[in-house]
Amino acid sequence: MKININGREVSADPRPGQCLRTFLREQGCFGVKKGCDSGDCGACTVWVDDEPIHSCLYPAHRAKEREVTTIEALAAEDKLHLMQAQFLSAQGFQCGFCTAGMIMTAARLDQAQLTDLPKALKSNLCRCTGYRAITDAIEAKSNADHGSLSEPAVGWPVPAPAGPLIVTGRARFTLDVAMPGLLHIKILRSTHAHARITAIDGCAALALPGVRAVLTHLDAPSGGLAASRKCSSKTSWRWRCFAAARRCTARHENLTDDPFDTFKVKLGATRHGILTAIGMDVLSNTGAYGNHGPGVLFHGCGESVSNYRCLNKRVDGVAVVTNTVPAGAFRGYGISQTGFAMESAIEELARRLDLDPIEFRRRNVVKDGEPLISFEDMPPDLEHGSYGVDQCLDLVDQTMAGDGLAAPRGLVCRLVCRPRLRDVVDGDRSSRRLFRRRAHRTCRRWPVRSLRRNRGVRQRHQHGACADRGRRAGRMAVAYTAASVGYRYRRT
Amino acid sequence: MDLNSVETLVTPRTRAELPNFSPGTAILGGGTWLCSEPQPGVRQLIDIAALGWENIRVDAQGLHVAATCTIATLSGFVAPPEWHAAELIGRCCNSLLGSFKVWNAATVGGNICLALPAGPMTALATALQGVATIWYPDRTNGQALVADLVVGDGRTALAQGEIMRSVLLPRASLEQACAFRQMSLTPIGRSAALLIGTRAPDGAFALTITAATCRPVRLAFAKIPTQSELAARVDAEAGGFWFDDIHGDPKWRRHISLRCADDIRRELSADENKHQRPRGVG
Repeated sequence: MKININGREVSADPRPGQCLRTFLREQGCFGVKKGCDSGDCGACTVWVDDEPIHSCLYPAHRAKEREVTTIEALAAEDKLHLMQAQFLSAQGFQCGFCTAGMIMTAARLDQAQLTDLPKALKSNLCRCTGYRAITDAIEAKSNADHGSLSEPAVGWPVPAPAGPLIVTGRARFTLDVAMPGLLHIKILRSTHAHARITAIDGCAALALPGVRAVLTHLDAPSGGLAASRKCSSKTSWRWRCFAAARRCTARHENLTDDPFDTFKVKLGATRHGILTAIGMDVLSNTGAYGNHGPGVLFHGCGESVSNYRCLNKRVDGVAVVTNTVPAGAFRGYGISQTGFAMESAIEELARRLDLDPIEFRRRNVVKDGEPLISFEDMPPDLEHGSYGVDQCLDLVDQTMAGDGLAAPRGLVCRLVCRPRLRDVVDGDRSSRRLFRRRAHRTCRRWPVRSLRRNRGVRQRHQHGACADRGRRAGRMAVAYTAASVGYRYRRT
Repeated sequence: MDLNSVETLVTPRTRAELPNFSPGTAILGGGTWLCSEPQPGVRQLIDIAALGWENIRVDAQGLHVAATCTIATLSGFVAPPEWHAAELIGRCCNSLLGSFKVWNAATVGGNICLALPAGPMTALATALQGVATIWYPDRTNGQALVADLVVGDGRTALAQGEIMRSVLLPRASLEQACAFRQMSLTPIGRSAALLIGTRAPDGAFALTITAATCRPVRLAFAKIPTQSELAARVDAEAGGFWFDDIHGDPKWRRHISLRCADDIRRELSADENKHQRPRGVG
């Protein structure tokens, strides 16, 4: 069939059940991403006859004799489309994987849709930004200084170097490589936490059409790379597959959720609703290797318990390495799960005490400046940057009461690190370490001004300051305000 | 996603070109559900969009909507001012879980035939006593109320090879006064309860419950019932059908359905002459 892709006539026949997304990628349009493959994430958004669609849900044959526009053709002759320029200016991305779909969607929103972005951007998922930077982009705000770098780089809102590639769909992600004769590897995972393998029979898999090989531990090279060089070409092919399989796992398996298995939360309180004891017992199955196990346990048990002031706290946390699928840290390092357990217990206890659960929280939540203590008595990982828990509780209270109050717009924070990178960039390791320590201290000392919900005030604060990107940038220390809890989270 | 098990794709231009159905045959409407999850059993796709049906037609009977009409096209329909209940068209389109880009591809017929409890086109057609025209494999046609067509979660009364051709929303239904309530666990989430009330010029009242029940439930009354009469009918006729999934507990769905039902009852009884006043259109 004939199809016009980005102004270019293409003659190719899609497979009977093929969707437009894979068809376009086969034609080299790698800006069309594979995300959910089910119409939920929007990363594959393209225009068919100028109408935006999820190309993963669009049967390829229906594009016959139509015009398809992908992110690659949005910019006209080196001049970025307005929406691309806005995303660049606001740095409306972090990893950039969703950006092409975001831009292809945002560029087709009408004025009515622009007034309700949560609805208009439904089914455009961004895992990194929290949508703040994306909203800024669509509202044509600027968060980066694209001018000359005559000013010191540290503390200056420099744009991400990959930005121009990201907004034009030219940034290359893992799968964005055309490889002739590409094979696919499917890894069979253990369904048992601990078991002994007595035999492996690959006959059933080998009998399936298209299966080229079944690789087991027997295919693992024993003599390392040197030995593999001596292998026959056939062995070498199998060896390369084996090596590729091991590399692939890095991407595949980290998509597993945070690994918590069981939580137990025990609370004690006086009849007046003052917490006297918090006990948390957490068991997590972190799967093979355990790379994120300690971190998930650390944050999951830390942030959920330290929200409340209480004289007695005890946390038991165990991460178990097993042979099941390795778990990652894909839901805020487990905080949402432990937080849910903790808050459910708080809710239940409040009701038993015949107290309003919000009021119960008001009485027990940490006050401004109080130490944030969970399971250890040492300089905390978290500290107060600004204090907004009281406002959060009020908002939840009002929203639950059903007066239809809109959610808050979030806080603005700013880069607070002042030591200059150039002072230490040529220094030795110890001076860099010193730099980092200084950066930490600076973060601590510099209060991040909290945002008043008045829109005018917010914009004045934002002017000249970098919005909440919290981007990892070399040796910069970035203060990041988590709007929902009002804490500042240090990152270096 | 790619449906790799599909071996043949048929794009019939006329009814005569429709192939024979087998257990591996699937009808492709918009494709927004079919392509959203693996369909390992599907060997043949019949793309009914190729039949080129007219999307929307208005005549003396009312509004004819082709099964292949997209949600986006339907939502853009501008109704005559006396069709007060056409307001429901926009509200139901907005209740679709999918994004506006899904609207551009998803079809009215597809939404009904998928028979999901939260299918908003099922709600619309049930509340307005929509009549579906069915194409039978022997080239004859039949008709059925959409309310009778959707019989359970993901189940319709359609047999293999039967194709929904169109839905007629009768003029009399569109001229009624209406009230609409929708609830979900999140502000723009999947409907956990979608209730529609209609009131005819002669005072007859009807309440349609969808999303909270695994199949549409329509309760008709000769006049506006009292709160307890309505609640008793809801429990009597929807009692066995409260839907249970991650989007809402059955007890909660019953609770919010009763609240919405009473809201609707009050809205439609508050102004006895409401149906005579022009209101917003779809």
